[in-house]
Amino acid sequence: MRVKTYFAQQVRPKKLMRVLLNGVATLSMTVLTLLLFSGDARACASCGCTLSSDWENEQLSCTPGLKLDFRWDYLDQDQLRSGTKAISPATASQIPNPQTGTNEEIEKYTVNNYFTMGIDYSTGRDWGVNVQVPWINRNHSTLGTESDGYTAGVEGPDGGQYNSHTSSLGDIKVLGRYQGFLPRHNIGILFGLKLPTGSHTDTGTSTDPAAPGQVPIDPGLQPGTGTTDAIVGAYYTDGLSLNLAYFAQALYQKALDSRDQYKPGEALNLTLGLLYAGFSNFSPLLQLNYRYVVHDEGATADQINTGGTLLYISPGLTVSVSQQIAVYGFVQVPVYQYLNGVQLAPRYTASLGVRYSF
Amino acid sequence: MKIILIALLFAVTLPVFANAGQVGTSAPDFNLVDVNGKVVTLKQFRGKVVFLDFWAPWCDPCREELPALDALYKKYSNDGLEIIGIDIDSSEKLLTEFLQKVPVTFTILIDKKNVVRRGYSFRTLPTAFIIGKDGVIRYMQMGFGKEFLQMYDKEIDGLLKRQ
Repeated sequence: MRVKTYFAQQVRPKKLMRVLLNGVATLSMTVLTLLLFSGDARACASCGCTLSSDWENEQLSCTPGLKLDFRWDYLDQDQLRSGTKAISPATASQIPNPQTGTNEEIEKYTVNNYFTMGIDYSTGRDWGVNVQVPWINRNHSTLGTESDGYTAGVEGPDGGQYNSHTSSLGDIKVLGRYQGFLPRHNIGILFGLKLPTGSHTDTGTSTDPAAPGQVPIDPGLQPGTGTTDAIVGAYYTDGLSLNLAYFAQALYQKALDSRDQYKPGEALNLTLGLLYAGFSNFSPLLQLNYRYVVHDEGATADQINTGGTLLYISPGLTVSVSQQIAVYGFVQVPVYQYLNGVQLAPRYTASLGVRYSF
Repeated sequence: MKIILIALLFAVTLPVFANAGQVGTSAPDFNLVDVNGKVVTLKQFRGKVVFLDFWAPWCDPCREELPALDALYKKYSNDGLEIIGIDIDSSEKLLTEFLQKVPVTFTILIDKKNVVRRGYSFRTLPTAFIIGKDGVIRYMQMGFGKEFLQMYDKEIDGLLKRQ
């Protein structure tokens, strides 16, 4: 019995999904950055100020009004990693897990599609609010414990091999911003909550012949964490030259409570971005995203195989299709990963979206 | 999936190539109020050379540019030059305070809702458009440096001499 919880008679909690959430969170922050900086960032160099309509979108946060954003994020987690290296499933299956006393559980894949509606409203140049409503579609498969890495585990009822499909509302984020500190409005603070709107009681289908049927899936695989998290942060933008601007952002997220003996680890996200605004209709953007995540906590949490340090590079492009519509795409590629324990990670994540300003 | 993503990224970039530059096109007309509340349109200056400058008081290069434009206006206004400074994205308080410190003799308009800015589609402050007597944009310049003044002078002088 690897995890002594009320899941004991069912498939044991999955452990790898925090990496998924890490990836999604980082990507979300990337896109969120663009949404939050979707107004005039007013990055000034000595010869001119970039109206950074594309951190992204047209004149958003400085112009009162409503904006909508629809985005698709795609992540295919198909690579087992431990520490800074990719490892084979066979190797992973031989790594002991001190929390459970058995070898590591082996996951095959997790394919995720996130469809997120963003609603942004600015009351003026100083204040704004952004709401992110995600719909999560996820397919997952695991071989369980005592696996050779390629075939299902042989541990018996607690082997834990199962498949799951999730398609439901995730956790909604509500973020306020204030950027009225300076006339240029190029420095601001962020504050808000991640709400427990996503289900945290979804089930999967056990493929363990000794224990078939519907089983609860791990907290990390659920569409929602069940917790309310506080989010605080700050951002700054400025110019490097006439058409080149940069921004920096720090965001910290921490769960304020726990649910079913599960509490997601706190996370720090740092973003550095570079924008070229020299083209009339499109803006290339390059970001570096750093994310540090602490282990999950609680009896039902995987405290070994969660958390880590990640660094991504994220090239992107936004195209202004019309005065009101902008389309954007981003790819996020890991350049450094230190993952605690054994975790399943995506080789890249991608995002496509469209934004409409009323 | 990768192919789909690449195809979609490619597709969204296509409109870029369909959009030509603005020089040589008709300057979009507008209807804005000046700092005294008087309504001003671009159309009313047809037959004149118009130097249209988008700026904001919080923009340091703009603050440097405005006195230089005022000198240009004083030099050519009797020959048919009109300079219009369009303030975008700043509070009225900030604008008033700035103009008290740096008074200018040319027209200052306020584009509170960025309506005119969208029509001219630029991303840098200041951005200047020099419009011929026929209402066609003849010159565009982003940013400001003192070296630009010579170019402005030459461009304006040439356009004023055209019929």
